[in-house]
Amino acid sequence: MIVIFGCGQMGKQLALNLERDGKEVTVIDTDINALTELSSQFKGRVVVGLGLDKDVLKKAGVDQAEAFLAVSRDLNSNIMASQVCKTFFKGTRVVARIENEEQIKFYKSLGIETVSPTMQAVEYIGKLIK
Amino acid sequence: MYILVIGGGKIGYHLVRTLLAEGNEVAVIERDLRVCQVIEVTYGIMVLNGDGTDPALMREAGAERADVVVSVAGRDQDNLVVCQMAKAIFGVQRTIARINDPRNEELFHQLGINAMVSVTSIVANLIDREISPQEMVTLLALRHGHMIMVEMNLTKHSPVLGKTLTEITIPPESILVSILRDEETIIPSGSTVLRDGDEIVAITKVGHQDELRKVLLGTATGNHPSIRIA
Repeated sequence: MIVIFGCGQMGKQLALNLERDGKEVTVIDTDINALTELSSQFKGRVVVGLGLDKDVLKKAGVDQAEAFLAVSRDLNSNIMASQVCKTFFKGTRVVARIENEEQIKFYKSLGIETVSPTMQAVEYIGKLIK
Repeated sequence: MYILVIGGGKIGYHLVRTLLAEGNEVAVIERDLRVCQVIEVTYGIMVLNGDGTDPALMREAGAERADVVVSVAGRDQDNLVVCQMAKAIFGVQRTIARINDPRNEELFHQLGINAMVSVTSIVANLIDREISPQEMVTLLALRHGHMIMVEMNLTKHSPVLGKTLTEITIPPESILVSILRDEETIIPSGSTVLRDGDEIVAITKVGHQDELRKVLLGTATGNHPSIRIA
């Protein structure tokens, strides 16, 4: 099972792709409308709440999950949610969307895997137009 | 001392004045440009406009030479990142975070933040004191919340009135620290006699406060949650 925090463009697409690949997926977000919209094309569970709240993570089943993906648009919330997960649900693999290079370096040292969509897109486009 | 304040809202704004009055050098990072201008004009200090969690901006604000970084933004997650960056990248010795969700105190502590100011807990405790003068109130959490300092007011119903402390069995894991009687502060000894109206300050391990309450006030658990860990 995989828990995704953030039901924006990235979280949604990630949820749909993982489900298509046969994974059981739960999505957390505070935006009920976004979750409802996702539900129309998604069989997994949605949880309304703050992704950095330990109780919400527990409710979403993070303690049982193989991975927790914090990919909301709110980067500091991703950072805190990842650390809540690392601290209280130790067995779960954690990936956080962080864009700042110095922050990435530090949080990697804490054992959080990071993904930086903007940075990676910029690099990719740079290569394309070279 | 050089103190870097992140967040120029209500708390930050007044904090700056206090810190300056104590002779500190202070700089502020604030997201809202208009708020920045007000602080700059009011106090004549360096104010940087932008995201206080961005290490580049912290560097510009001189985080490397800061003795203390105080993060008093409105969101716990922002204050956490600020304090972690201050420590990890700039080697700041003391970091203080404002927190709104009292449950985050434990987490922030584990993550190495030195001190926290929980406005929610402070207000909740004040309300407790106001609504339950005869009951037991938590004044302070010690040792990361494993011990608490509590205050109780003895009433005419208390079973210990007129007794000396040697005549009373104070439950294990608790100790009486002081007795406030009228304007006087009494450090209790075995011969101290307890009286109606005494305010007793005690330290107890969390989980043992009800035993102490029972002995001193004669009541079992309160019928409202008057004990809250700060």
